[in-house]
This record gives sequence, C-alpha cells and structure tokens, in this order.
Amino acid sequence: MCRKRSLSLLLFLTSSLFTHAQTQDTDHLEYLSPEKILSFAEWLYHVDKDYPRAASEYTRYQFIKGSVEDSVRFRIALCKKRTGWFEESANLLSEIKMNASNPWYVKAQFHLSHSLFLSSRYVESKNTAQRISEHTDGFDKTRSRRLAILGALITKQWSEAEGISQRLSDQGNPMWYSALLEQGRSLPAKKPWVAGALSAAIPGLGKVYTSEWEDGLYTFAYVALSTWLAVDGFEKNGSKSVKGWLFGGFASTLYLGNIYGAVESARRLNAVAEQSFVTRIRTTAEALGDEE
Amino acid sequence: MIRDLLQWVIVLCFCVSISNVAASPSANSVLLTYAERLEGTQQYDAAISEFKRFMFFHPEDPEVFRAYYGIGRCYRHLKEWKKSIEAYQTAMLMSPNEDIHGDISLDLIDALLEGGRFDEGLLEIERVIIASGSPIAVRKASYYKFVALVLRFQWNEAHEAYRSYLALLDDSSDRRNSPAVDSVLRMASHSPMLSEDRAVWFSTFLPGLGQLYSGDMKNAINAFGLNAALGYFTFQTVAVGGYVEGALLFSSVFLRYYQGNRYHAERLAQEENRNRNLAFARKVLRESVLTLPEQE
Repeated sequence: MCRKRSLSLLLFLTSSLFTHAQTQDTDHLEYLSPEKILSFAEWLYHVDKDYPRAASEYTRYQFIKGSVEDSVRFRIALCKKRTGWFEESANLLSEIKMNASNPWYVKAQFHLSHSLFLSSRYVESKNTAQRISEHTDGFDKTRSRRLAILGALITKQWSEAEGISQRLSDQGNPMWYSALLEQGRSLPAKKPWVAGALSAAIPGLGKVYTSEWEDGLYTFAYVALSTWLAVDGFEKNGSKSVKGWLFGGFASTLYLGNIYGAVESARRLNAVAEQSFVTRIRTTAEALGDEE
Repeated sequence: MIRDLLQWVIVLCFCVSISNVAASPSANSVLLTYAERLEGTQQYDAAISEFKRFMFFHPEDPEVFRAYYGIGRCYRHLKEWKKSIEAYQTAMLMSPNEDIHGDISLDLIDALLEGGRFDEGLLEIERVIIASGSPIAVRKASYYKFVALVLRFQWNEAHEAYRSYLALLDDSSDRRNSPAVDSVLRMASHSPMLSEDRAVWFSTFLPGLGQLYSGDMKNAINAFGLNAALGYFTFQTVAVGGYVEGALLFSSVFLRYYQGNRYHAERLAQEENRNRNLAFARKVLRESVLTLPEQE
C-alpha cells in the first residue's frame, strides 16, 4: 500500500517536471507566432515610433503568415514613408487594388498621392489626389483636395489651384491656402538675361533690377571711375600710357564681372524665393499625412 | 521506518530538482540572452529588435532594465548617441541596485563624452564620484573626468583630476607611469599659447608679421610681399598727384588684401593653438592609459 503510494507520488512529480520543461521549450517559440509578431509590430509603430523596425516586423509577420494582407501592406508603406523612403512607399501603396470590399483602398490612394508629393513627383501626386477626392467623402475628400491644391501650387498652376479650391469651399476653411497662393503669385521672376543686358548697357543697373541697390551703385562708381582714368591716361600719353592700360584692364574686368554678377544675382534671387515657397508648401503637405 | 525515510528523501530530491528547473533561464530570459548574444556577435540592429521585443512582451519583468541597458550599448556601437543616452538613462532609473546603477552610469558617461556632450558628461561624472558607493565606479569616473578635461584642454583642472584618480588606485605599481603624465600635464599648462589678438595687431602694423608670429613663414612672406607691392603702387600713384587713381586702388584692391592679411593672421594663430593643445592631449592620454589597472 505504502509502495503504491510512493510510486504514484513519484509518477506525479516526474510528469510535472516534464510538463514544466516542455512548457519552457515552447514558451520562447510563442514570440514567433504571427499574432505576437503583429502585436509587437503595432507597438513599434504606434508607441515606440521606430518605423524601420516596425516595417521589418510587419514583413516578418507577412512571411510567417504566408499571405499578403492589405492592412499590413498599408502599414509597411506608412513605415517606409515615415522613414523617408517615399518611392518604396509609393510602390507598395500602388499594389493595394480597388475592389468594393477593400476598406484600405481610399486611404492607400491618399498616402500614395502623399508619397508621390514628398518624392517631388508633383503632377502624378496632384492627379491621384484629384481622382480620389471625386470618389470619396468626408475627411479623405478634404485632405485629398488639399493635397491636389498644394500640387497645383507647387507646379505654379495658380488658376487650377483656385478651381480645385472652389470645389472644396463647402469643406472647412477654403481660405487656408490663400496666403500660399498670394506668395506664389508674387514670387519674383527676374529674368537673368534682362539683368545681364541692363548691366551691359549701364554698369550696375542689372543689380538695381535685382534689388541690390548698394552693389549697383558701387559697381557703377568703380567702372565709371576706372574708365575715366583709363581714358585720361590714353589722352595724355596715347597708346603707350601705362596708366591707361592698367585702368583700362581694370575697368574691363569690372565691366564683365558686373554683367556676370547681375545674371547670377537674378538667378539667386529667384532660387531663394522659390526655395522658401517650396519649403512652405512641403511643410504644409507633410502635415496632411500625419493621420492614417 | 527506513522505508518511510527513504520515501521522503526521494520526494525532497524531486522538489529540489523542480525548483532548480524553475530557477533556470525562463522563456523571458531566453529572449534577453538571445538579444545579448546578437549584441556579442556585433549584430547590433537585430539585437535592438530583440531587446525591444522583450520590453514589449515583459514590461513588468524586473530584468527589463537589462533590455534598456542593452539598447543603450547597441546604439552606442552604432554611434547613435542620442538614442544610446536616452536608453541608458531609462536603464538607470530601473536598475535594481547600486552596483548596476554605477555600471550604467559609467557607460552613460562614455556615450555623453563620445557624443560630444561634455558638460552633461562632467555633470554625470561628478554625480558618480559623489553618490556612488562603489570604489571601482568612483575610480573609473575620476579617470573619465580627467579624460574629459584633457579633451577640453583644461590642463590645470585635468592635472587636479588626475591626482584625484591616482589617489584612488589601490596598487602602487599602477602609478608607475604617473610621473610621465604629470610632466606632460605640467608642460601643457605652462606651454605659452599664441594670442589671437596679438597676431591681428601684428598684421595690422606690418602685414605678414602676425603670420610669422604663428610660425607660418610662407604665408608671412606672401602677405608681406603682396601688401608691400600694392601699398607702394598706391602710394606712388598718390605721390605723383593721382589722388583719384590712388583712392580707387586703395579702396578696391589694397584694402581687400590688407584685411585678408589680418583675418588670416587670426585664423593661423587659432589653428596653431589648437594643434599644440591636440599634440599635448594625445601625449597625455597615451601616457595615462598605462596607469589604468589591468582589468579596466
């Protein structure tokens, strides 16, 4: 009786030991289950904001699951976009196909348009945004139209921007973009050849044309003075005048430099103003993609 | 009676074996060990993922500080100082005891100094020196303080920090190279540095003199020759009554070279000072490494 009891006790303990060991062996494998990988990826995306790592966990989830879900593909694309890999993001989003039951399609198309915008493919972005704005309602419609307006503004299609905006007027504040439109319309468009021609006619006038008054006046004074000195030298000693040649050379160099400087000044002025405008539009556009 | 006793011995043996199994690495620490192994094989990016996985699945685990600590080390290897420092700081907040806290502090100091955040690094060093109960941590922090001050070329303060560090060494054999370090530090603190203002003034009175003062003979001759020629030419022009020509030459050509000469004199003095200080810093650090105890 006693032996039987001890034997059963022994059996119980052995079995509990094996069960425990077995549980341990399989516990760490649970981290590799698709559900756990997905929940880890979601945490990386939403809480830790570690987008590159989240993208690789979503990819791992897809691989283990063996199927390609649009929701996961969408998240991977957003991770890529937030990491700055806009082209890859656009490629992934364009793979999400339209069908009646796909709730991810409209969102994917908006973010496709957004990725295209951020990768400087403005015309494609504008077309995509306009297309989806016509097939959706509410929040997605508003932000798609806004993106389309920004696409039109950055490509300097002012009247197109106004046209899209008029259709948007029933959705929120229609004037949010008016400051951008005004800035775009008043962008300086100084023609470099005009600046060069003006400086060739009257030294320094090209700089005045590009609003560099002080530089223009200095250039005029130096070119005029050195030319006068060169002429004075040649008048007194003819072609053998050292003074004439010296200041003549100096005046010629200044004169040519003044033409080149005026052309560059016009280019620089346009570029700086345009850069500021583009940066402002891109900053506004970036904020549009903050929400899923 | 004997049989009963035997039976209880067997039961006791099983209980002990089960408790051993329970105490052996759990699934949690398997994940952590795996992450540390990845870190050990320099797969830092993969290691960070595993450390984060542990943090996500076991946020309440007492070992979670190890994950933050590991992330800090990995980011340090990847030279992402900001992330490394943040992870170390979180690990310190969670560390279960003073020894571990001290170890993390030292790594944090290392990351702060490597990341160029000297002021914060020095602050952390002072905190360890004052608050740590571990003599090894205090000694290491003192050495870091000395290194940080050397890298900032604060020679007198560095000398002071080095003396404090030496006082903390247990073994006198570790101090065998200290006279060499002392001597270099003394040389560095007494080494005359060039005055940038003086260099500018020299070049103001005689173009090229500031460059000569900074030891750059080639630039000195160049600056002197160019300014002398242009000055002479301008003066000659004025002397023969060409006031307008002289004014034009003076304002458009001479002044430009003259001011350039003054600017370069200042820059050369700055560069020379920096080079001298760097040479001393290299020498001091090379000698001081020999005073580190072997295990450090």
